Amino acid sequence: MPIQAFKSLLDPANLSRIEPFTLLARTAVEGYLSGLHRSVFQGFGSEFLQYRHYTPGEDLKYVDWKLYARSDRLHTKVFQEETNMNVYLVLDASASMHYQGDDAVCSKLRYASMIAACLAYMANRQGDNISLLTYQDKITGFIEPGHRNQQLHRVLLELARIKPQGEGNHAAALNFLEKHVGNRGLVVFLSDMLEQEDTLPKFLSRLRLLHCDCIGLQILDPDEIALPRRASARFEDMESGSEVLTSPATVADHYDQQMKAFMQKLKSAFHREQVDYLPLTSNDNLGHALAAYLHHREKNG
Amino acid sequence: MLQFAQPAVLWALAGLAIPVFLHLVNRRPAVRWRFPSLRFLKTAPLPRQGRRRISDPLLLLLRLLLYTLLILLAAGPHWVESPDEAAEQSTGVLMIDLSASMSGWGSMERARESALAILAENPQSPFALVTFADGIIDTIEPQSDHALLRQAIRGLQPTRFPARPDAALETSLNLTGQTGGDVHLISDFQKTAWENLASQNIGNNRMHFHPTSDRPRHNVVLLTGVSYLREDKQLDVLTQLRNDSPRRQTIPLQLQADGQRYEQTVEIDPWETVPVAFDIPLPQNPHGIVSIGEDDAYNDDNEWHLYLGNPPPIRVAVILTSNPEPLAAEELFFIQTALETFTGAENTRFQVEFLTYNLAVPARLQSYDAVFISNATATSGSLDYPALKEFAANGGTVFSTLDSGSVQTLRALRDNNIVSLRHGGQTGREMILQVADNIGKLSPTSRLSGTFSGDAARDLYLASLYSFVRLEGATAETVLLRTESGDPLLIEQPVGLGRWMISALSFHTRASDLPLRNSFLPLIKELFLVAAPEGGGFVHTTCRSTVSETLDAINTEPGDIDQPGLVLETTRPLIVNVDRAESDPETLQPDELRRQIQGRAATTRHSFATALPGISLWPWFALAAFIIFLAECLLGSVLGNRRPTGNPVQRKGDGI
Repeated sequence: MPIQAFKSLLDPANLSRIEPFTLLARTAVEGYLSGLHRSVFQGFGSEFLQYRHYTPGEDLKYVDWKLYARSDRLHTKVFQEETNMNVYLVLDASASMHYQGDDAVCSKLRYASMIAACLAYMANRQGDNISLLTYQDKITGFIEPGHRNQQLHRVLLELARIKPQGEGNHAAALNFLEKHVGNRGLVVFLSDMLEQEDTLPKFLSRLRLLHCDCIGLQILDPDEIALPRRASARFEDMESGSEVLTSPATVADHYDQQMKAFMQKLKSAFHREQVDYLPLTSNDNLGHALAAYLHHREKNG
Repeated sequence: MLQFAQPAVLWALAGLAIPVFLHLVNRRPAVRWRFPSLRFLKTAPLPRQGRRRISDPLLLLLRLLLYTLLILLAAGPHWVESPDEAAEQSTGVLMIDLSASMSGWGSMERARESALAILAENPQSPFALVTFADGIIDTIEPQSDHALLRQAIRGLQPTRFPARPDAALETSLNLTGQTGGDVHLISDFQKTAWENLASQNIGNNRMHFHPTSDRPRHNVVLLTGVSYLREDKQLDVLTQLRNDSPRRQTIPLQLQADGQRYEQTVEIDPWETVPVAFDIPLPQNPHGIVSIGEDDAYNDDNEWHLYLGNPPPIRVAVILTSNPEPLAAEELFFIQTALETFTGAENTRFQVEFLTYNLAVPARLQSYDAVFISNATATSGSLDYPALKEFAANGGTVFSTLDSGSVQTLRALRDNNIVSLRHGGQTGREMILQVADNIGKLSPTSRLSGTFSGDAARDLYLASLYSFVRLEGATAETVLLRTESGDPLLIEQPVGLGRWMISALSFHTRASDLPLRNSFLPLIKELFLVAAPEGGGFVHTTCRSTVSETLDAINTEPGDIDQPGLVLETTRPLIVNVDRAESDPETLQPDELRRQIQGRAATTRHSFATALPGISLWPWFALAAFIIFLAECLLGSVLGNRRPTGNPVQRKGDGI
């Protein structure tokens, strides 16, 4: 598949039009994987799956020399992935995630859900246990890790059911997760992380002590990165309901600077706590998130 | 010079101020904006400067321009030469109405004043003069010396004729030549005369309308009059009055007849029509005049001429062959005697004329009310049945009798689709007079049953029939008289507006003794009474109305109908009155006239371009409006993409 085509498959503008998450995730992930030069899922296990033609650059330890002697052609052995890793998808479903600006193709929660669906599909495809935790001001849903046939379906169904509201209680979610997380897991934290630059990296770093790898995906709307210049507006906080009457055109520069500083601070905090951090806007290609996941998957494989 | 066919539409330009005003006074309220976090948003004073400034001046300008162009388009823009330029090189035409209505409401005086004023305003321009009423009365070719024109204008007098301006308008438009000119229409523009004007190609001419009356045309009209002769030789004279004014009127009405004057006073409400009746003895002089006893705004409709004599006789043509047989001559004698016998009790007379059949006869039939054709004439084989059928179809009555040899006659009638009767044989062919049958009892529905009752009916039923033709195929409703045995004797077949009557019995003594009986005279008169023309036998017309065939048929001279009155020198009395359409109080406005002259088709094709001369700018304005519309759409789209729209909270797909 041409590079452009598979990129367009991961474009949220296209994916947001697909209503069922099952189809959405399959479309995105299969498209994404078929565009990779080499599958990272194959070859790491111990159970032989199939042969394939050798591609220059592949590790020579997987070349079947006996077959080469017989056929005078290089083939590499492909093994079925074998894993028992738990992938925890933690999704912030607070009211602020409901925002969708003029330039965005979907709300932040929809975007985060699409990422979660893709990751769940990908994990399920390689036999990992998948788990989903959604929270607002309290825990609203938790699906225990599992890899049975219906596990993916349950996760996708839960994603489809989410209604954003209330404030986000990140501490409660991570405390809950600490009690349920097992060894050798991967926690994917999906949130806008607003006003949490001091606390959230620390919370996530605590999970590392439980031998869980963590990745923080910050989902923001383009409006939040660069405030649109409008004449006047009565801003209302989506979570607290407080109001500010101001002129965006007047305060936009100040806002943009503050937001930039906030994100820089957040990035530094994550870096300091050795937690991977990936800022995304709801218009970004899903490939970024999937690549980050695969990177971690390979690291822990 | 830019001119507009509908200048009143330009008032809509005042509406341009509305969007500008709204743009300036409209304060857009702060929109409610639900946002994820207000952490970095600080309160700031709302911008005050520029609140009353136009934010998108180019867009506003384009929209105003588009609106302006649409209004100008609706006003019908035309480019015409300036009056000074046009006056130097163009010919003027004064087209002046001299119809009867111009004698009322001071119209003629104003028409003269208007015409003289136009000449005074254009001393250098050559002018032509066209006067008209029911047609062109006079034409003076264009000339630069206005003296003759002024003299002619001062001498103009209204006629008694109705207005028909088509021919005069066409002539006036042609008089200006290829370059066009100014055509000045001076008239009261009465609706009845001008609303049916045929469309004209006005070319490069400029039309100017000079109404002679701008006030309501109040008037009292003597609409019509008619007389009926009663059996007691008294006359009922019925007239109608109409009050075309907003106030109740008391009208003195008088009838002049035979030097006597009969007067009445009539109260008539505003805009009402009332009937008025006079009961007078039959005068010696049949010319009567009903008139309103006092002058009003228009006097030509204040009198009505009437015929007050006996109804003119019903004219019956008896068609002969050159050498009629003795029996045919006997039959004609009986018919003539029966019709021309006048007892003095009847109101209707008959006038019988014998016409020897030749090729000219069919053309002369139009001046008769009925035609009698004996069996002998019919069997001669020279009759023009299509002409006779046309005579009947136009309201005439044809009466034909059957006898021996009538098989061909019936075939000819069938072939010409006049009747569908068939010959069923003939009774009493032997020479000995032997009673074959009698006349049967009249049906109560027969139109003869009113005449024949009591002794008269008994005399009719006693008539002996020796020989008659048996007819087959007659429908019951067409049979007027039957024999006792049920054979049809008299059949009346409708043909167009008239009828064709067929008698299975010839009226001579060899066929029956009916012509010798008392009942014969009323029978023949009753049968021919249906030939009486509508309206009592006299002809009514209006001054200079189109001369019809009827007028030709009564030998009317062209000058007979120039003035109202009664003409008795014709074959039928001719009553002439001024056309009451001239009393119509409604007039057309110049805008309506322009549309009328331009024509419906042209108005539909260019709905906004009316009868203005010069070059129509309609396509150019439309093109400009279209281009500006495109530019406005483009600019609006660009600006719309640049600025936010709507409430950011309302998004589709909010629920996941």
